[in-house]
Amino acid sequence: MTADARSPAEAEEGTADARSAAEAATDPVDAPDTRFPSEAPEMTEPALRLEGMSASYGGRPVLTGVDVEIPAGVLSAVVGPNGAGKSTMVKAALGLVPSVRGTVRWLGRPLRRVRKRVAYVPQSDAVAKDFPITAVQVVEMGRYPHRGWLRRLTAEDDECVAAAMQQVGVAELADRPIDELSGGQRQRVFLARALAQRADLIVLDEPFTAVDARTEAALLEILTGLCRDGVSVIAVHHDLRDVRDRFDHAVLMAGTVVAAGAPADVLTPEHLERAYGMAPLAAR
Amino acid sequence: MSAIVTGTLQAGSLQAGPLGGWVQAGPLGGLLDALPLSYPDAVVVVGTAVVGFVAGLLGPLAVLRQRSMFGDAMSHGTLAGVAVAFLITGAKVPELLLLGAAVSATLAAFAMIALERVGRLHADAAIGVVLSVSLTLGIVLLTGISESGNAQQSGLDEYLLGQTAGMVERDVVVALALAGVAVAAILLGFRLLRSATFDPGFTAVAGVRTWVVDAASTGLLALAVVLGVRTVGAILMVALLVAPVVAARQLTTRLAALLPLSAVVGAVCGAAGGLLSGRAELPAGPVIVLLATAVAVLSVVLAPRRGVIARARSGRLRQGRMRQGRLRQERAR
Repeated sequence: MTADARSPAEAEEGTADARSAAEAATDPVDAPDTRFPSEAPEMTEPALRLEGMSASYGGRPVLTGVDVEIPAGVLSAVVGPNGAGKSTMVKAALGLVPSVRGTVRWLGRPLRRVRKRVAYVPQSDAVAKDFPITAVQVVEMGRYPHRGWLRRLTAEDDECVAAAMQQVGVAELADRPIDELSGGQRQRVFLARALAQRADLIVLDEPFTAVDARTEAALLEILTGLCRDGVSVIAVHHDLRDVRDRFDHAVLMAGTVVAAGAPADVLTPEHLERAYGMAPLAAR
Repeated sequence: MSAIVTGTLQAGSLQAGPLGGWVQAGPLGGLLDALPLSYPDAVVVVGTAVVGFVAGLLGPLAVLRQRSMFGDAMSHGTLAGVAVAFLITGAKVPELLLLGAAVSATLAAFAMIALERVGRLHADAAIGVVLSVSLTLGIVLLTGISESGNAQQSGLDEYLLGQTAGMVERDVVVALALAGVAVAAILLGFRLLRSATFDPGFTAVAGVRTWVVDAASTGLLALAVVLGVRTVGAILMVALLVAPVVAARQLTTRLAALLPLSAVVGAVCGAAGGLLSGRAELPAGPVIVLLATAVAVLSVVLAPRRGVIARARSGRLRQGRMRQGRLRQERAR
């Protein structure tokens, strides 16, 4: 199903009912799998596969006809100009946008089957910044998908949390309240939460916006190391030079997918002109 | 006002004992007798303490979710429900009036959500509309009732600014039961609530339907509002939801400490305000709210670590301004 096949009226209708009955019955992300029955989760499965996905905000279509496959075990960037639907694509695939159509497969399966294996680091302004919570309590959230919302954390959970905080260099900040941390420290804490979850796939939405250059380099180093260990990383990012130099894979967006593949093949002048209307300086 | 006070006092279940003291036959007898207060004072103190405790405990659901004004509109919404419940039953049965308040507060909440989602209004516009319309409706209905000459109606206006004089032991029992519900809900849902409020995206990806958390916390907020509306009044209830949280937030950096601390601040302000208002013959709401606000201001100024003075001393205020300046410069570039 492609977006072109539907009339605007249908798209409008989809939004209106999705808001009121957002969680009711079958949302497309959690819809039972009919097209790919009983596949074993192997490394060969792509980290994310979208087929004919479209999404809209408040009746306005943001994404149409998205078909893309992001391979597993690589550092992948989702890039594009402001309003290109980068974040929306990721959030829609994670079930965070009410009106979504199309097929979504994380690690070859519907999201609801792999929730423990997918860690999400939202954009920094999607988190309540002045909330009364300490760094270690944030990292502990990474264990909730495994432990549930009522049971106490175990010694094993505590080990995961401590190891994750050590790995990203925030162990000494454990008891600091989150609103007293710098942007870079806070982002390290959120990455530690994803590590504590021991996920096979980490999804980050604009992870480097409020972060100094040194922290960005350190975080990218950690993410690259994770990919070497077989973890898949998908990051929404806007720095094209960064993507060209440091990432293994890129998806260029402009309301739909303009190109996907190795960064050198994706960030070509023709593609960038199609996405941005003109080739940005950084890419020349 | 004094006519209302005497009227409601007589309507209460109090009886003069043989020695001019107050005797009672309620389930809380032992507890109330243990306090070094006369029986009516003990009822007021325990009752307002429980109201303040619940408001302080559940206030963070409004404040930390940035829904304080949502709570305000819900509490204004209770007035119309009280009036309609009185019109239907023709009598001032506290439980039925509270039921009316609960129904109309919930309707106000639904109206705001509908305006926001279906009408695509911004939250502040939706709240503004519902708040003013429901207050207007409540006042029109109450005025109509008071001019109808129904002798039963005297005292209905206490729902506007709050009153403790009519409080009887049965009210305290109801308040304690609702407080039990609130404490149980918070204990059970603590981790979920913290996670969903702090980082709704992560929580949803982890498999939680966050609208369930939203609905539950709106329901609990309605509980706090309805419980407090008679004591503190529809107009001022929001202050008792917010002020204890503001005071407690300065003193702690953990939600697990914030909730009990805020509840205690609410309880102390409620009890002290309830007692004072009775002695000074003032409506309870303003007295309680002024006390809670004073505690909040003191805490904002004097708190050891996060207070204005402490931060000025440690130079963090200055550093914060410098950092903001640098950020602005970077953005300008």
